[in-house]
Amino acid sequence: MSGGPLPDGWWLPPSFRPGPPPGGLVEPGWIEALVAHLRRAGETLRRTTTVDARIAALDAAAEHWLQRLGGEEPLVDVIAADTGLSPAMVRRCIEAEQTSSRGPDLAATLDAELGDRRALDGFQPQRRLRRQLRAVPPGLVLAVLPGNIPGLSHLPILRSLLLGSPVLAKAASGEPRYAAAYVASLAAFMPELAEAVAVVRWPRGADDVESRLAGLADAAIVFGRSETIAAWGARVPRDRPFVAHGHRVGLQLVDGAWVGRRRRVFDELALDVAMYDQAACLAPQRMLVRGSEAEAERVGRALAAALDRLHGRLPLGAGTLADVATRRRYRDELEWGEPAEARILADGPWGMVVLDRRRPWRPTCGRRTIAISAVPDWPSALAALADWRPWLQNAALAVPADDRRPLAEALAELGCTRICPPGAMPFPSMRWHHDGLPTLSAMVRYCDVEGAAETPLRGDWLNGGRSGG
Amino acid sequence: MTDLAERILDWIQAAPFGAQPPDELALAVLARQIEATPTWRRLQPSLPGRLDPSTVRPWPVDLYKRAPAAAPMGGRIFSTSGTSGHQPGLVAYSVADMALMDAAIDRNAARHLFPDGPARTRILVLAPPPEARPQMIMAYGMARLIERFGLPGSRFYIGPDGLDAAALAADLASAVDEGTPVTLIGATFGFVQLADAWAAAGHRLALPPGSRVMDAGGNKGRARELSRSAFAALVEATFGVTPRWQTNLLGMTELGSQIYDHVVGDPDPRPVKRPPPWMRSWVVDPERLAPVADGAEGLLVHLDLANLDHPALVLTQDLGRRRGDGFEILGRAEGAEARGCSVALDEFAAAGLGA
Repeated sequence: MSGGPLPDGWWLPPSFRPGPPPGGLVEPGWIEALVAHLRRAGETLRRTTTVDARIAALDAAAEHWLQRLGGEEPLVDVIAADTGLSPAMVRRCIEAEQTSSRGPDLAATLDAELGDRRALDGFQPQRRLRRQLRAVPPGLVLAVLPGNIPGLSHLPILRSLLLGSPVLAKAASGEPRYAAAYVASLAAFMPELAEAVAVVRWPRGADDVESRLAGLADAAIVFGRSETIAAWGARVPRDRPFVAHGHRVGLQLVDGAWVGRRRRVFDELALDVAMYDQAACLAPQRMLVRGSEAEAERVGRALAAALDRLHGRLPLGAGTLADVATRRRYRDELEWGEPAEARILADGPWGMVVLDRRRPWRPTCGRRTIAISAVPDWPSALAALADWRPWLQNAALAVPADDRRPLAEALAELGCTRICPPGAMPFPSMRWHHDGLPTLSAMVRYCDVEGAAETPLRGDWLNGGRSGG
Repeated sequence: MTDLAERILDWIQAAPFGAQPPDELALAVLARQIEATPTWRRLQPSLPGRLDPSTVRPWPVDLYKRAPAAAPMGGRIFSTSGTSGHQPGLVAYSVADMALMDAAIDRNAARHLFPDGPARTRILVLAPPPEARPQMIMAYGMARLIERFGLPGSRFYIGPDGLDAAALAADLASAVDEGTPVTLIGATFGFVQLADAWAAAGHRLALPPGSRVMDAGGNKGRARELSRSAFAALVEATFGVTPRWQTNLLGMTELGSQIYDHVVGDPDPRPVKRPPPWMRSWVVDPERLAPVADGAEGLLVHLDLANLDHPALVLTQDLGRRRGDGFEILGRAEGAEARGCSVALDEFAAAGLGA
């Protein structure tokens, strides 16, 4: 009833005997068998490895990928063909993701979120809180992987394995290959990790499979469109952790006078726009320039020049047909519209810069297209940004030092979850509270060993000492 | 009717299938429309002698959403569907547009759906009647088919409470008992829902010989996506109508004419749409709007001479693949479909933040 070669982009635990389903057609019964296998693999993973050992293995895998990218890597061209990104951009994407996945960052993030990462291995004393704490990871994580950024699909897998949880991942149709390649690479450093992961695909609308899986998982990490997140949110039982990363949008706040003609700053702003060809939630879609219309136009032209320069070493990809069609639609909206309201300031094979007076502010079509609007002052601009609250994520500040703190405070209130200098927008660290969430601690269940409120535990009660104060 | 309208009407009624609209006639229609539209004139100050979307700027369908269309004297307003994230657009049809559309519906249907002649089948439509949805162009067109080609008993089955499944099942059973062939018409996804519901209930039929099915639209992006061949098999399993007696219709509110993919009853049905002789379709590269090579994918552009008083050269949001002198529909190129977790234009539009 099963067998055959593994479909492209799939990874199954090497010892999962049924192998892939015939024709790659996933059915609820097969999913149940896979889930049972993964749960057992997760138990083995937690029993035989420590969190520090897993961190070391994941760090070694990151190092492996960074070295692999230094040479010929056929996967890069395959992913470039799938995604419409240039091979140089695919390399840069994977490099960025693996650079943020190094051991010290993983350890620091776990410690920041859990207090002590070793709570994943067993009860750990927290003396100041007079308790012992255990963090129990999910017995199985369901992950719906992102497909917009090559390399990012490793993140939900890495988060799960870091905690010691097995993961059943659904690969994205937009970029279906990297996740399986990443898991395959883990086998060399810690086979137990690769044994605890499955990466599979099934067609949209396979309700029976998705409902069954949602009921079987102890936690879910879902990347995707709003409809995708809503659909999974409705399936996953309410008592299970559900970490969702949906559509988001970024922006750049630039003080026209401060930025002046600093070429380096424009190069950094251009990198923010260009990275991932703007398909990432991290990417800015709009630049607000404090100053006159003329100032905004000058900034726009300098940015266009910087984007053109960047295109030489990090080319804009050909894009998928849907990407290019979306750009056509946006371009038509501008060209058939009223030029006094919005006009294309500059465009080329490197992208497009638009001077846009229209309100409300809207995102652009991506593909390195940024809309620039002049704003007379920050308070009025921030008031207008209230419309962006459901989506606002990442903001770069190219403003005088004295303006940074008040702007950051206001942006945080508006819903922004990451603020950074120009050039840092595409490169968040693992420590970032992604979309404002503690993404690791949100997945675990805590167990505290403590005494009564008035008689806290003292000493080593858990190890046989007496209780009470 | 003006001379130009008369010439177009003659062409619609008499041009041989397989012919293309004469460039001279198409350019005359476009020259008139461009002259009357300041923005179009700004973007297309002069017309070339040769017509294709890279030389004459096609009218983007999104523009219909910008400003409400004024009802022309004696004409009609039709509304585009406001699917998720999309505002509906309004398209004004003049009296001449309506007359040309009627002629296009008649000739196209006579060729593709009723090649055996009128009044051969009872037409059962899985759509609301035009009285209930006066701005729905599909309802108008189906009513025209019933009027011109249907046997008595032809009717619509969608009312205020949705599909009247019981009445449909009863009428289909009667048709089987009487041996009266049926033409079933509906939206593609409606057929899928109906077939799924019937399959769950263990219900299936073998409609009398000569029965046929025409589905309109497509199934891409729906909760349950089906390939064309899987759809054809589903229809055959549910209604006993073989793929040879099925045809798919591409219709758009923005176009007075429609494009079928098959003449029912002909052998070897292939999902390739060939425009009628008063239409021309191109698959174009979205960046430069230049026609793509055979087998390549792009956006669809249609020229429809039946659009005399509203834009005749239309850039759609439909993705297609060029197949010789025809094309195959691949789905819609919506912003939300574009790769990326960066928020889609459509999502902002759905939240009321701009078109």
